[in-house]
Amino acid sequence: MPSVMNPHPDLAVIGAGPAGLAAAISAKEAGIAIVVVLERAERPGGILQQCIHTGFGLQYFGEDLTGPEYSSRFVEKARDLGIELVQDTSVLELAPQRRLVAAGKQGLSIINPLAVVLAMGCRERTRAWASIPGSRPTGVFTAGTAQRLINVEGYLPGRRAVILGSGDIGMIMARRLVLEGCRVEAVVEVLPYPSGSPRNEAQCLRDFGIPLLLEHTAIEIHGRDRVEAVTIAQVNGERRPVPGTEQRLECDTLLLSVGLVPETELAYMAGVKLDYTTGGPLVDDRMETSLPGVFACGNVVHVHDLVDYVTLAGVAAGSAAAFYVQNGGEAPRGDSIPIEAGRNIRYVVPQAVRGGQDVTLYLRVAEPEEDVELRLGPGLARQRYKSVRPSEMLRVELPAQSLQSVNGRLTVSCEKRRKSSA
Amino acid sequence: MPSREVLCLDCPLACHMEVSISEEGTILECLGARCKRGLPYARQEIKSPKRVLTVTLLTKGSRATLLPVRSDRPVPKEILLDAAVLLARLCVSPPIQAGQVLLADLMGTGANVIATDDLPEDRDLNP
Repeated sequence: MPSVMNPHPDLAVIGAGPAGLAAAISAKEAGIAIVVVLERAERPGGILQQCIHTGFGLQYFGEDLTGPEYSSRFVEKARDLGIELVQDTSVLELAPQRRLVAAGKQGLSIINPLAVVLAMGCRERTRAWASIPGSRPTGVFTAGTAQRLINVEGYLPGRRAVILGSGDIGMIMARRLVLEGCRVEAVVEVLPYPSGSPRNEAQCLRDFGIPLLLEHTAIEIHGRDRVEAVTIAQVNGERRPVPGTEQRLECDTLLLSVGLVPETELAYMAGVKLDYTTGGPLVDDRMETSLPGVFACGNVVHVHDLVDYVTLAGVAAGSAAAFYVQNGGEAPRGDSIPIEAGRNIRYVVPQAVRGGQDVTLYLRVAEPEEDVELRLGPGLARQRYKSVRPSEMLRVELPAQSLQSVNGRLTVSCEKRRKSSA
Repeated sequence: MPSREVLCLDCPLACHMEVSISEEGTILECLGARCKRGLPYARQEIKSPKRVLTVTLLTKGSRATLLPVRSDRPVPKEILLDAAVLLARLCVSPPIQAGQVLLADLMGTGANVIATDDLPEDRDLNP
């Protein structure tokens, strides 16, 4: 019998992927009585359900797990703790006073939790974003859609594929297609370096002899009813196709792995302030958004490489939400210190710190560089790296006491290390 | 003394290691690993590169079309495609628990193919 949802839970978490589950568990363990997790899919686990490959949990558990294995540890824990998992339920609306409208098997529900954690994850960029000329034949899929088709629904998207974009999902799907007997002509990447991890480049492309064409892009899709071929070309320094370098690759499928964007419809509707570089909400070191009592964690804030860090973010958001509920919604927040992205830093999360507790900063560089030093200042922390790349998120830990001396703003930058004269 | 670059794939950090190998094929020096797993990884990679295989199996008698599975330990890289073809012919039925062995000793490697998710019996969903 579909249950009626408690209209006044202490905490409502939107999304039962790794971020939401971690937040819910963390809040329950901090003593919050009624924690509800709303999930639009039939089962919890989020995107991990279709990620049948390994690479999950190496940091968090010290084990190399598949997506379903990683996810089930948290689902089991959530159930053991008495967290209410409401599946097949989509949140349609979030209003500023945290009023939620949700639709599911139980019909339409309106709930008013004391706090909310946003954990809706992210979406893939589509062909429309990539603006690839051509008609609209069948056979053009985002890599994640192809992943769901193959790993959950049991369909092959096609038999002979070209993959645009060397993001992790694109490379993982290259291997997956080959293991299902398909041919992958090439992975085509517009940048001069792969956008996914070196591990995937080795295990998915090199191991299977799949060509990686850097500084190339797709300029036309051929075929009317079904994809017949894709024309690719080399690009110059401004990412414009170089005339005369066109190559026609015969295929029946084009997979797009051209970036992920936080799912922020609900946040936007509620008036949560967004960061237009990450695409997600602005958060402080409590993972609280600009709306009091509304927290956010995981890919909805910024796209992660490792689920282990998503879990850590969820734990932090859940604790902060619990503190908020237990303290009757806190007093107006004091001034928080904004963090600025300096030289060669694309973004840093959180975008502001309130102080009073240890903080972990997560950031990405804008361009790959060798022999650098991350500087957080003025005068707070320095970290050396032999090499940094945009596809690898970096972390800087800041103990609480180091922030006491700061007033004004903080800047994090990536500087070249000066060679010592010898 | 020949040296070789080995990318450690044990974890996503993917340390670039430089490995010096003796004439007999033993490792003399391994630089660049950020943890102690690098050296055993390098040894294995030079001797016989191995990878974990992850695929899906067809099901029968379940609402779920597929069951995700894995090899419970890495297997020689060269057999991955043949193993995938072999597993594509298998069909499994519920009830199955995550971790359950579905095929023991895959192609003589000693690795078992195990479920990575449950495949429960379908219950009557209409109350």
